[in-house]
Amino acid sequence: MSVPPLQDRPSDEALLAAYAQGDRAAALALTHRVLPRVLGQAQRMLGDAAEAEDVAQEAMLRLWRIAPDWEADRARVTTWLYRVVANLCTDRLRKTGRGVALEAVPEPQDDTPGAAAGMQEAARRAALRAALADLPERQARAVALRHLEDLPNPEVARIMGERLRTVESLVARGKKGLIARLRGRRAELGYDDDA
Amino acid sequence: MTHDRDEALFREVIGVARAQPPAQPGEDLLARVMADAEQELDTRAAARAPRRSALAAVWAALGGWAAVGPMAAAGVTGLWIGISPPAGLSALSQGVLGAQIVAVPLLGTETLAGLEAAP
Repeated sequence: MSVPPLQDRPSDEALLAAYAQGDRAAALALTHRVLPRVLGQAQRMLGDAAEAEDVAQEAMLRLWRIAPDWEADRARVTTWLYRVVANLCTDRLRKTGRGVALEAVPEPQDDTPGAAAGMQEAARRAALRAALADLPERQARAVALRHLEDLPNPEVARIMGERLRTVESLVARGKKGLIARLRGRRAELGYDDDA
Repeated sequence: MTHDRDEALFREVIGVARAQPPAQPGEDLLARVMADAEQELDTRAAARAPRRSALAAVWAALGGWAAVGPMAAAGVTGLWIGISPPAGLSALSQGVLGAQIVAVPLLGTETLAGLEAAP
């Protein structure tokens, strides 16, 4: 089946409006389009695939619920989803993410270099999760959107509904706070202290 | 020096999180999301359907206007006959039943007086 040219494809907002009118095929098309990004954002913030799936499902459920009241001139669907996922992730981190011990990272099944490297990566993801969980929520959202999602500050400001200057400050303070929390774990995360 | 090391630490930890393979939703997640979408449509459709009140339910159970109209007419006629029996009714009942109709007041005048005297 050929993919229609981009300009002929209905927008996310048009698909959402069609779903609100009862079009199930529109819901499926929209899901295929946005779910990978929603899931990816949650995975990067949470560092846990199962939890990320739960967050992705919840974010999509909220999208279905708001569909009848969606105002076409409001935010774009992707912008709205970035915000909802960031909020859901920080809520979850606040409840469960603090104090994630590196001991909780599973031992590798073998002692090959690849297995050891995988374990170290998992430890670093766990450390990032714990540090994000420990930050004030707005800072955690801002720094995650800016640095994990690689979005420019004006886009982060739109997503968070904040002024640009506020976001710049939140990102800067969030980054500083993350570094402060990671610095003490440098050695256990496998970074050479003498470098 | 410390600033550079901190910056490198931050970049590396962030880099590990960003380097995760692109998320591909599995069939199970897709099914859950679509089930939610279906459920929401059903819930909204149910909420839009006109709600029937308890009175309307009783009305429908009785059969609506088609049934209640004649029933009401019969009730009114019976009440009217009770209040003001036609002249021939007494003779008719005597002929059919072999008895005479005797009007018995359900509430005697003493009872009414008692009710009026009650505080």
